[in-house]
Amino acid sequence: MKRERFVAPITYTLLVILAIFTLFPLIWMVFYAIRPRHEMFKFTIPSTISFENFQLAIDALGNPFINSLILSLSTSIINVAICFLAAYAFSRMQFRGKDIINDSLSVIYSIPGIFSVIPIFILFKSIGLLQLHPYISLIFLYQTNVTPVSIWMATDFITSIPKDLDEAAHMDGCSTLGILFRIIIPICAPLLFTMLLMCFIEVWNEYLLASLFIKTKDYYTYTVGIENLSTTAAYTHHGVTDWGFLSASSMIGFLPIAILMVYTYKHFIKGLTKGAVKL
Amino acid sequence: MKTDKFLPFFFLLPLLFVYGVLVIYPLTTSIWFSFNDIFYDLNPTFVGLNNYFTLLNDPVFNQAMWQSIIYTVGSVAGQFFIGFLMALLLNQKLKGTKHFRLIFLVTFYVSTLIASYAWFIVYSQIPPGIFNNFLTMFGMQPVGWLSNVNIALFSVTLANAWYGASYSMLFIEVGLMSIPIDLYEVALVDGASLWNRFRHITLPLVTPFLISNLTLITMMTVNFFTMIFIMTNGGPIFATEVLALYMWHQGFSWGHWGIGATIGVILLLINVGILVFFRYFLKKGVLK
Repeated sequence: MKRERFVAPITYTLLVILAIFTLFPLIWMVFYAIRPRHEMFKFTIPSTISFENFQLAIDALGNPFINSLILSLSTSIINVAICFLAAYAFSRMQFRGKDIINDSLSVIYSIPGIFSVIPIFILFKSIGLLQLHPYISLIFLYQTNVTPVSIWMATDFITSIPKDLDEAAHMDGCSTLGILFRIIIPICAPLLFTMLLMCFIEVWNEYLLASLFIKTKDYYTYTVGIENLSTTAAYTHHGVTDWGFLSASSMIGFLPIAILMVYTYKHFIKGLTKGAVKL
Repeated sequence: MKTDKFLPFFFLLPLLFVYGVLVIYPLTTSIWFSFNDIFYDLNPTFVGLNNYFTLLNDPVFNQAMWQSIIYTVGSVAGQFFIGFLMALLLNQKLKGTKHFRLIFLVTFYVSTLIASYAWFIVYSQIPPGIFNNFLTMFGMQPVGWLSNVNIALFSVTLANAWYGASYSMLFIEVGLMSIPIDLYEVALVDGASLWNRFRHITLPLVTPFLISNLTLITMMTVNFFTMIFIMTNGGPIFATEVLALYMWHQGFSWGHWGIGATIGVILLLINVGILVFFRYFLKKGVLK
């Protein structure tokens, strides 16, 4: 396709400007992370590259990172199970109320759930879930995060599997559950993995609800850990937040996501396509 | 193939349970709570519409309402136009644009906490952050980006627009990709200019996506306060207090659960209003 001559240079210039706009706060975080601690608040290029901050971050946040991993993994495994079962019902079964439930998903997707946080907090407190273990409340609360998008993706995927396969298995005497476990789930393995990653990323990054429910140091996730530790006495420079510790721990926290990002962004686009069409 | 009558509901049971507790239950109870005076877990007393009157006479609530409007309009406009521009540029499908997409997507993947602290460092006054260092380098006075009452709201809005732009980009890109490429080829053969191609092919076909995107990001922004919560926590003197953050403060910082639930109900009504406005009013009007 032939285009105007000026299109390419202008496009690249604007892309570079936007890329700088996107990256500059984060790049500066990298500078503050690799700076030696005695010149923490300086603006110049770091004189030497030092890993003191990373050492501090790993020492202080080792436990929170493991907590985050446990919380994110358990949430996403449960979430994948819930979404997959629902998507299977949507794509392979006929039942009354299917359209209503399906439509309500897009309403739930579009209305953010923050208004509900006070009633849910009161509920969890009154039935004693809050005192039991913070992660139980959180795992439950996080179930709404990516659920509609996950269900749309999975419904599409399962619908695209030919029904002949099911029928052949049915002829051979396989039960409905047998079809699900022996035929559908093996085919869907890559899909399940993507759904798992999507939920994992959301929960790994979550801060607000975690800060509300987690009050004990032993249960800190890494986001709550960064928030609390970078402002506590041990890491505070004359009452100012410790930028070195903060930046280094943020970078370590973003690292797993940066790796997953390269693998998942295409699926995120597909999921969004579904959402865009549904709305 | 015949399926059991109850089997589908067995499959849907976990989903229905989760939504029952997390969506239906709070929806109904927060309306009930808003008619009660609840201070921590002391016995609630029924007070009718009193919570609503209290809020109407509360200067901070009114301030938060206005600031919510400014914050929402500002960040929606920012993230929409930046995201639209990003999507249009990427859609030129020039060499290497894939890498730029990955760069833009970093803000989509980075944790809100990290994004907030990155901007916290950008805006910091003591010790001087990035903006203030540049200002002093050019011989200007440092500015209290987050501590000046008149500037703080603008600062958090800019940070929020930065954070949300990539979501709009992804969403609008999906719309741009749905436009058949033949249309552009035909237009090129007819000698249509870049502007005319944008005006008569791209814009009309992508408009439904733009409106969906605007609906979603407006509702998200009204309810999104985590960045403000981390950067300024509503301060200085309530200068960055928005409605959702005020709900959080009333509920969890000051223990006024009844008032908090009332603000939640108001937020929900605002959300429904936005949804109805965009989906039934604007969409019908534009797509006629």
